Amino acid sequence: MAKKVKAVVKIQIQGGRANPAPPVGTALGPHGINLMQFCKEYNAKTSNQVGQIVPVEVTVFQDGSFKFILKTSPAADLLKKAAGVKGGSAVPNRDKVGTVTSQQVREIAEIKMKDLNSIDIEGALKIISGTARSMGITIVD
Amino acid sequence: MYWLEISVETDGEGAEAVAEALRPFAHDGGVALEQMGDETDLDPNALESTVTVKIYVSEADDSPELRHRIEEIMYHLGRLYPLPAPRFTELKDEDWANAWKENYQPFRVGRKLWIQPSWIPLDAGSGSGAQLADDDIVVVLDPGMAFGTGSHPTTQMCLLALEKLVQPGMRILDLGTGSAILAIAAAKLGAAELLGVDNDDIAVKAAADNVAQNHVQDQVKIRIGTLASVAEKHWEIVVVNILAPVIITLLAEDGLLDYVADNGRLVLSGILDQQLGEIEQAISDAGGTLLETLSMGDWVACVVQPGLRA
Repeated sequence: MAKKVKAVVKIQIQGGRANPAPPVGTALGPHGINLMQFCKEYNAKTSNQVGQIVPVEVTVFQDGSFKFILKTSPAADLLKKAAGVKGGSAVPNRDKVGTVTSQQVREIAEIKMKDLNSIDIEGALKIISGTARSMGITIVD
Repeated sequence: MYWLEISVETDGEGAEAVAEALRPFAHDGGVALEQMGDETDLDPNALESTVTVKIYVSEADDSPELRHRIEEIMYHLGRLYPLPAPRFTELKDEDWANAWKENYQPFRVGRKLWIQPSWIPLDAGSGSGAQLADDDIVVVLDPGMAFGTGSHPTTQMCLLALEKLVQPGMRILDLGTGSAILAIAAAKLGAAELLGVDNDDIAVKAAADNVAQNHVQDQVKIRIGTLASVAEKHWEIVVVNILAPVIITLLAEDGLLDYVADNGRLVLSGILDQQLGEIEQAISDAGGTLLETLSMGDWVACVVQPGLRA
C-alpha cells in the first residue's frame, strides 16, 4: 500500500548551498526529516547550479521518510529576468516596475507548465499573469 | 535565541506572488511553501488546498517596524488577491532542530559496526528489530547539526571501507569529519592516531562531544580548518566524505594524494554515480589509481592508491 503523505513542502533556495539553518531546518525539521541527509542530497544534485534558485519539492511521508524532486526556477524569477527588473513592486496595485509581452508570459507558462497545478496552457497563463500583476509587472501585447 | 516565522495562508494561485513579496525579508532569501496531506481523503497523495507560505527572520533582524512593513505589503497584495493577515511566530531551536531524532534508530553497518544515537538506551535494540551482538563495535552518536548520522549511503560506504581497511596501529586523516562518526569508528576498529578536520565550527563542536562520549580522545584529535591546515602528511588512510566538486578541487589543486602514504589508501565519498567519470579523471590526473568502487543507491565511493597500481 502506498505511504500516506504527511505534507509537501516546496523550498526556494540557492543550488548547492542548503544547510540545516532556516529556511530548510525550520521548514523541514518539524516534519521529522533528517536535515543533514536532505542537505547532502540536495547539495550534491544541485552542485552545478550554485548561484541560481533551485526550488525543491519535498514529500514527507507519515513514517518520517521523504523524497524530493528539483523544480524549475520560480515564475517570479523568470518574470523579473524577462522584464529586466531586480524586484517586484511593494505596492503592485499602484506602482508598476516594468513590462513583459504576452509572448514572454506564454514562454514562461510553457517552462513552468510541468510544475504548475494547471491542466492546460490557458490555466498556466492565468497563473503566470496573476503573478506578474502581483509583482507590479504590466503585460503588453 | 529564536527565529521569527512569518506565514501567510493562501492557495496555489496566490502562493508564488506571496513568496515573491516576502522573499526580500527572508533569511538567505529562502521561502518555503507548505501544503499538508489531506487526512480525510483515502487517496494517500491527497493534499489540502491551502498553501502556507513561510519565511524566517533571525532574532537580530526582527523588529516591530519589520512586522509592520510586512503587514503593509500583505495588505496591498490583498487588494489584488484576498489574503489573511500574516502570522508571526517565534520559534525556539528545540521546536525544529531535534524533531528528526524521533525517526533516528540504532542500526548496524557492515559486519559489526553498530551506530547508537546517544539519547536511546543501548539495550533498546533498533527500530527494525536488529539486536546488538556481543562483539559489535558501538559508536555512540549525537550528530547535532553536523553531517554524518550514519544513515546516509555516503557515510555507510565509508564505514564499510574502513571496516575492511583499518589495521591496528594505523594513522588516519578524516577530512570533513562532521560528527566524527568515521574517525570514531576507525579508532574503535584499532587505529592508533586519527585527525578529524572540518571547516565548520558547529561540526567541530559536535565532533569533539562525540569523541568524548566514545572515550577515544586519546586517539582522535579534532581541529577546525581545511586540508591546507594539516601539516602532517603520509597518512595510512585518508577518508574524504564531502561532495564531488570539492573532491575534484582537493585532488587537482590542493595535493590531496600527497597526504596519503605510498602504500596507503584514499577513500572518497559524496559522489553521485553520474559524477564518477569526472572523479575518475581527477584521480588519474592527480597520479592516483582507482582500486575499487562501492555503490549504494545513487551514490558511489572510491578506494584509491597514490601512484600506479603495484
